[in-house]
Amino acid sequence: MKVENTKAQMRKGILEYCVLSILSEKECYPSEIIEQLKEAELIVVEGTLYPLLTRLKNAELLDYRWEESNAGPPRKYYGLTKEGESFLSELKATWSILKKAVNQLENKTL
Amino acid sequence: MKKTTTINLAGMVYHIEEDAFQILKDYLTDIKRVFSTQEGVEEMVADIESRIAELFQERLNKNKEVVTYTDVEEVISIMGSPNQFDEDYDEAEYEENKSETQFNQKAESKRLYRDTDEGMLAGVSAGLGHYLNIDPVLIRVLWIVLVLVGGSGVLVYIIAWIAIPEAKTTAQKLQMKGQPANLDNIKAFADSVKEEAKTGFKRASNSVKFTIEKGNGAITTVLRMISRLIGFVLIIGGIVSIIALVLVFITKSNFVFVNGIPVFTDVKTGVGLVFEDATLAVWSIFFVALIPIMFLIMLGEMLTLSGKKKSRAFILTLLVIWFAAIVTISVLGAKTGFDFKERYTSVERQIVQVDSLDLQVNLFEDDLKISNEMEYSFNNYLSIDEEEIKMGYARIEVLSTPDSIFYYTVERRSQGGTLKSAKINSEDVRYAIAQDGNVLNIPTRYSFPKSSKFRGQKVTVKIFVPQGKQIVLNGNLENYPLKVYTRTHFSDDFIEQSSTWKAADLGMEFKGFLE
Repeated sequence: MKVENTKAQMRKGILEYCVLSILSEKECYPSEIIEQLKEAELIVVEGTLYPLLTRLKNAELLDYRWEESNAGPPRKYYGLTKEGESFLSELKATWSILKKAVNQLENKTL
Repeated sequence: MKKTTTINLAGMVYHIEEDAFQILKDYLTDIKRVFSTQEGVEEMVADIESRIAELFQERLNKNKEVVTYTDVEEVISIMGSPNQFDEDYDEAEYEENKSETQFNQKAESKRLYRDTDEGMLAGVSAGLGHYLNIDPVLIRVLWIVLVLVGGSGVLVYIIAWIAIPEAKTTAQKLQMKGQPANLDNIKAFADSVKEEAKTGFKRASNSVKFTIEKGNGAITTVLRMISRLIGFVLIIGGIVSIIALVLVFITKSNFVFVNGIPVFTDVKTGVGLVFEDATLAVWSIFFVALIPIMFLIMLGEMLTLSGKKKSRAFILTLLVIWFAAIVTISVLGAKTGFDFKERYTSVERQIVQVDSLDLQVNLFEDDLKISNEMEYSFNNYLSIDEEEIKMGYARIEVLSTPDSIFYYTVERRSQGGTLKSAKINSEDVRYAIAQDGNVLNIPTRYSFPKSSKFRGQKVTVKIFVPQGKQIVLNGNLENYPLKVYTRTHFSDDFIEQSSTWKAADLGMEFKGFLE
């Protein structure tokens, strides 16, 4: 068992949640999402985001609108749909349970 | 200086170096292919393109208007290769659309293509080798066996040639080898090909390869195949020849002609029989034969495009050895030839006292059988031991004489470089007839010292019978070089058995067989 694989899997599970969280604050275009994810060290290569966005959009959790940019090409601003919001609140609940569970277990072992 | 091209990326115009454009294009194509099963892949790629456009934008300014190769490399490393997307995230995607096993299959699946790069003919064997993960040489050997056993291999090969597609694109070449066709692999492959092309061009510039690969098209393809086939035949033929040559040199499979009779022996002994410097002569003969075969194999390697070009020094060395060997063997041959120039026959005359009318003659077969023709013709004729060379069959003649007593002569004949050495050689020939009462024991063999070499030594015994007296010849004489001079000079018909002969005034007379 490789630690890299496990790490990738852990990241993978929360990446969707994080992307949805970012977009729940405000609408973003991909570069902004990437910036935040990179800051949080959640992604290694930027390409990772795009299949994820496409998938969330295909699942109708995300939608987007075009906006002109004064530097470079026009930008796609992604935001949550209604389904996206309810999806996110479910994930939020699950995440807080998980967080609690992990904290509790970690503290016990300490 | 580099040529640039113009691209439209997310609605923006960019000047980009041509090689940079090529890897960018490959990269995007690769992403499309990897995510081809995903809905909305076009849009995703469009998003990625606009991100790339942004990243380019960051790298351009007033003083830098062109996207360079390095820029594209940097951007690609920031974006990551599609299989990195996979590793980080996309397994779930596949699980949605496909079962786990299918995913694995996709990652590792191999496809059967003909590999015309590594192939000898049409690449069937090389392709099968990749597919079955075994050495193509084994498959080629199997073809050869199939061709030899009834020729079915030819038909099967042609069918395979038609049925199996050729691996043309890089992706197909990778699939053929079971490597996933992702960007990293394609790039690595392209680099290796480039490298190979660089070194290969140099090496091929003065060889057949160049002229063959320069052209492109059906005729060239056919010519290349024919040349590969010829090359293949040359290599196989050459290897077989070398094996045969070595076998000839280490086994007793050669024959030399001794007094006109072929004798089987190994090369060293055969050559040593005649040549003074046997070892030198043997090696010279070996190299004279070996080096042209090596050149044929090298030509074959060049034709099949599989061989590394041999260095000029190597070829030159071979040529020098070859010429040296030819000169050596010529000199030795000429020297030996001169040793046969002169001829000398020494004659010894011996009276035979008998107290009866008949002289019994026994041919005694000192370990030399004379019973059948094969043995007569070949190996029993000659035997060589540490000290001497024994040769078979002294020639024996029976004649009538007007003299009143039995006598015989022994003629020892030999050749040599000078009359003197011919005489010495002839005197070195050992042959002894023994008389025992009324019986004359005549050996069938004579011998000479090994050191005097074969110089055409021969022994002839003539037995003279006084007229009115009889001679009895004992033994199975059918194949023996024994001649009885009769009135009509024919005798051979009668002497396959022991027989009695009477001397008359014009020749011998047949009296009858014994028993």
